[in-house]
Amino acid sequence: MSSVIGVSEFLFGYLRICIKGGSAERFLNVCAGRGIRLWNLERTEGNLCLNLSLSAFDRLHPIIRKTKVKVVILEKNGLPFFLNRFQKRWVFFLGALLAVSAWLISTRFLWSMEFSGNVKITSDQMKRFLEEHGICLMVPLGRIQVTELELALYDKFEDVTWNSIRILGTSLIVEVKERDVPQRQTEMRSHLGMNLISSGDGVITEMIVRGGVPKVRLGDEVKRDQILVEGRVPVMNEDGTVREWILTEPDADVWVERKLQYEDCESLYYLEMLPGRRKKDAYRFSILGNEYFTEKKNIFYQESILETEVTPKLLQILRIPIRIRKITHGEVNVTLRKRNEDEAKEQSLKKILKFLTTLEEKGVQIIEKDVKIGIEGDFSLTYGVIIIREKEAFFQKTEDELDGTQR
Amino acid sequence: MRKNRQLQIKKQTSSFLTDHLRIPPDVSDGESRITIAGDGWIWVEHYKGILEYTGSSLILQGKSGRIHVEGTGLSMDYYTSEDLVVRGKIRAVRYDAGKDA
Repeated sequence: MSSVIGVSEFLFGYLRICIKGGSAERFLNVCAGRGIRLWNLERTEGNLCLNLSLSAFDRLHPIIRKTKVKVVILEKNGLPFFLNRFQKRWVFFLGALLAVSAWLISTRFLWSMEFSGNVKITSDQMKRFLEEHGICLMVPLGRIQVTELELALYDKFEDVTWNSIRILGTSLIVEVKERDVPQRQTEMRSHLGMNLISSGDGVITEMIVRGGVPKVRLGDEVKRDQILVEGRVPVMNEDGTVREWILTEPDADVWVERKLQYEDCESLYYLEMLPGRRKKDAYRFSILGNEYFTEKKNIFYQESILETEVTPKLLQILRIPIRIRKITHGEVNVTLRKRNEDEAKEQSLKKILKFLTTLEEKGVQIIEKDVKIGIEGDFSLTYGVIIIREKEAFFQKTEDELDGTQR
Repeated sequence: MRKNRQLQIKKQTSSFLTDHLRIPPDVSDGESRITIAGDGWIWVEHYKGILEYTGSSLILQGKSGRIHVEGTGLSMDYYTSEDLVVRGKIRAVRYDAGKDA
């Protein structure tokens, strides 16, 4: 019914011919009588053009003679003619065949591993775990038992609360969810029966006790390692002696004001690094975990090294385990310089400010600072006192726990 | 004389089947069947052969007469001993009674 070229016609080849002279109608009738299928018949300039299969054309000779027509071949179509045209280019076809075979074979192996959701557990740990179970790059995909791996992952990593391992194309995707217990809860739980102690000498300026027994008062001077809040509550007998101790959580906000001695000494001489003019690129190839360098040693006597990923996007998309990194070696000229007084003071000031910022980031309040900067010989000296106010958060085990007994 | 008689009996039987059992003539007698879709597509079955084919007309020999297909740019999608499909701008489909009329 359809004039669309069938698969068999294309595979076995077909011809478009033109019938000239004689009786075209008789030619058609004889063809039909002999079971020859014709398609796409058209009258053009008195001639009849039609398509017929290659095998039918072989049977056409007696019909042509009988009907006294002339046959001109207009087109040769189909796979036999296509292959014939490229007969001389057999190497190209062989290459194409090999490429397709290589591609089909390569899709049966694992080419990349991706990990997501892991924070505490590093990707290297995950890789080691997979290697222990015989999963590494270039392993046949059929050998990977996903369900067994998932169960083994739970056993191996206690922090994993959920995991999903699946094969996507030629990649192994490992997704995990780690235990997400708030830090505060674990801290509180671990301080049961412990004492809150002082981390240094100072004066107590603020104290709010919610749990435990306070051992100091507001305005008291405290020494280092002195117990501030005890993590056990005594149960007294009628005669005033201790009958037993009940362990409790020393939950308190104790703020201590203390003096901090600041001293720093820095040389006026320093090494200055200036980028040179010369630059040279080298490459590092990582193929299946093995690394190959175009330049392994340092190129310049003193140099800076910058690494950038230059793996072609196609390799990344196809998940081919080849990584290319460009290593730019830049020449560096290192010279010894001496700072003048202003520069040295500025440098020291920067250092102090950085130190104070670090303290503030830790939650320490700076009440007062009296720091002096001076130059002595080839050194810049910084010294002074900083008064700070900080919250005590050091815990130590009680005597009972240290002795391993509980009364 | 005997041959004519046999033909007559055969025709009568065929006519009886067609009339009383309501069997279509293309099934009982092998008459040509023509299916037309719009004015650009014709499917012809049960014909004996092509008598004439040009770009403007196609004359087919049916069992009981000739079938004329007239139009412009007539072409055949395919052609076998059983059926053929004609495409083009079809103007008329005409029957000529009698086998050799």
